[in-house]
Amino acid sequence: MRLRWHLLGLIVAAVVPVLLFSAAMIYKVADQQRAQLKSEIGDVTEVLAKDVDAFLLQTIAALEVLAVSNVMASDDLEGVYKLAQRVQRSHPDWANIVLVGPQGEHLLNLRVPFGARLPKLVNPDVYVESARSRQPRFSDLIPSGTLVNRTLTLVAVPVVRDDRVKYVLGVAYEAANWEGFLRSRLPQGMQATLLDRHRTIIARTLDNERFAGKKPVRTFLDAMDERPEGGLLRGPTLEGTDGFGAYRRMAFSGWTVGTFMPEEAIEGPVRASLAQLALGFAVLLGFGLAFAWLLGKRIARSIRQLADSVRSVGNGDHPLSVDDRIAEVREAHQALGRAATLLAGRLAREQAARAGLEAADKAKDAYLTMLAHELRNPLAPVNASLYVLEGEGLESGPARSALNVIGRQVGHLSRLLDDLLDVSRLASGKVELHREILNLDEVLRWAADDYLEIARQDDVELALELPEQALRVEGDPTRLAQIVGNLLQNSLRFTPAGGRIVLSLARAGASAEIRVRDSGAGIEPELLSRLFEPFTRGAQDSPRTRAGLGLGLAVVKGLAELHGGSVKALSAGAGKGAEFVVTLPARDAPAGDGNERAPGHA
Amino acid sequence: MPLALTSSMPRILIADDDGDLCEMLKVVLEKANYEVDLAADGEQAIRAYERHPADVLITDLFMPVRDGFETVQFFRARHPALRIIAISGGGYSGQKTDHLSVARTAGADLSFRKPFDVARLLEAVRKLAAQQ
Repeated sequence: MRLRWHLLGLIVAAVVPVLLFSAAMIYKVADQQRAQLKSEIGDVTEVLAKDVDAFLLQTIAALEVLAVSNVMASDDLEGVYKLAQRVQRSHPDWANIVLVGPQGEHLLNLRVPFGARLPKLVNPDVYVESARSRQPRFSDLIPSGTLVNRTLTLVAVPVVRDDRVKYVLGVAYEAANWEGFLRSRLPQGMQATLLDRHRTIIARTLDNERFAGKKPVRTFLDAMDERPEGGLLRGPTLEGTDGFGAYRRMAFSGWTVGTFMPEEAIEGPVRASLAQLALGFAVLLGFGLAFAWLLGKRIARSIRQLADSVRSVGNGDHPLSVDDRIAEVREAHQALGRAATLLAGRLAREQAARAGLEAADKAKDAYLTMLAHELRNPLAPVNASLYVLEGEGLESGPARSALNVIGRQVGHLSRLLDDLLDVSRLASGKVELHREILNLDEVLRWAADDYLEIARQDDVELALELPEQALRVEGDPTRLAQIVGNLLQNSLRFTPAGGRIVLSLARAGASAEIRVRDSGAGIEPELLSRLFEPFTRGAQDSPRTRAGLGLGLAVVKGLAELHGGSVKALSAGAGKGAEFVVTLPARDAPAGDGNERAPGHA
Repeated sequence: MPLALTSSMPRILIADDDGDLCEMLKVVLEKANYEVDLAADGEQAIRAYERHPADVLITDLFMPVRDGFETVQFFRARHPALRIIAISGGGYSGQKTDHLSVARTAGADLSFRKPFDVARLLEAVRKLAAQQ
């Protein structure tokens, strides 16, 4: 994952818990607000209930003042009418004022000009009752007035003169009056309903015209059944609006006022707070992410430069010299610089040491080569001397035997020097092959030629088993002959008189296999693996007769590998003979005749 | 080669700082009816040739005073008819940087690596002398 994403993750990890914590806090505060609001609703309801009672009492008081006025004592109905008009003007909440006789006679009505004929009252009961009891009375909801087809509530106050009820003064309220009254006393967002003693809706701040005269919602009625004095309300209104409410029955009027606050009005502020919080955090997160992005870019650039620098040091160059703004990165650059210097120093020392070792190795190889050359020179006059002595006609006797010994040993010594030279040249990669496509059976035949006579002299049978079809390989004929020669020589050395050596050639898959199998001394299993290692062989083996074996086989291995092949030794153990198998990649495609030649002596 | 023609036997000049080898080859070659001159280095070989021009020169490559390569080059330039056989212990078959290959490039007709098969050398000398 890229560095930038790690940083973004860091910012998110820092912001999210704060966001969650804040949301929880806001929710808790909102819960408290909600509880407070509910208690406030209760308070508002109680105050409202008292206000309604007070309003009725004020109306009664006003009517009583009117009742004891002088004009009421006279029979000047016109004067009463005018006074009533003045009173009504100072009480805008009053819909109408009427003057009724003790038996319910319709005497005056402010809705009708003075002197006009008045219809019979539709609802005289409250006035009659007031006259009879000589007490102020007020009605429950009246479905319709005498002159207006609207719901009304009435207040009646008796006018008593000379201990006799002369008139009854009445005031009518329409639902609209109550609506205005309630609304002016309610806090914002709250609704109220006024119910009479029969729990009929007198007025309502919402959809007054529609619901006046109807019953409130079922839950309200149930709550009043259970606790008539007052309580809390929960649930949908007649309109289906969800919310909280409270109600209270009034001590004086016996009416009930209910209040209601829609869910929306309570939850709205909470939602608004949460929305503001969310917006704030979105902005915060946005800034954080942008900052993380920029910071990530800068850090990533620093890290990238550091990585480049490290790569540069890895490639053996100097680290980039960067004055990074991030202290740690700057320190890393400096440390890298020191490390690079250290590394360069070590590298130089190591290279010097290696150069010294290589030089020593080269000197050793050169010395070995020179030694092999120089040791060969004295053999030339010895050989020439032998040739001279051969011509002296020594047929038998000790001198003849001595001559034979010298001849054989010179031959051995010469081959030993050849092997030494080859091993050192193979080790230093100086042997070059003169490759050509050739028939391997011809190489074998040619290589075996040199050893047929020696084998005969040693009384060892040397047999050739060659395939009928020519088997081609690409290689240096002289070197391939050397491989075969060294193996034959090795087998001859370890095969006693009367033994047998078989040189065979066969195809094995995509390879050509040269096998030299003898009935000789065999090889101990632990020796098999080390057989082809140069120089080590002599030390492992005590019998002096076997000295030199290591070099010859090491040359075979080196030359076989140079041809892209391999060599292995097989033996059932000491005394059970040995078999050497050289595997070379065969060339199937018949090469042009021009590339082919029968190998010959150099 | 007027002087060489006066002799009935081919003349072989051997240049090698190994006195023993010179001695033995002289014995072998004289027995095979050659006239043999010996020289211990290239300079001596040139002087010996000037006294008695030879048919075949057998020369070592590493000698004091004037080495075999220079000697071969000298004779090849001055006496192109002379047959030359280079012999050396430093030669090695199959090597590009082989001294004997270098010697052949310089003008030697044949080369033999020490220790060589004397019979083969004799055969080579016989063939080269016959070319004269």
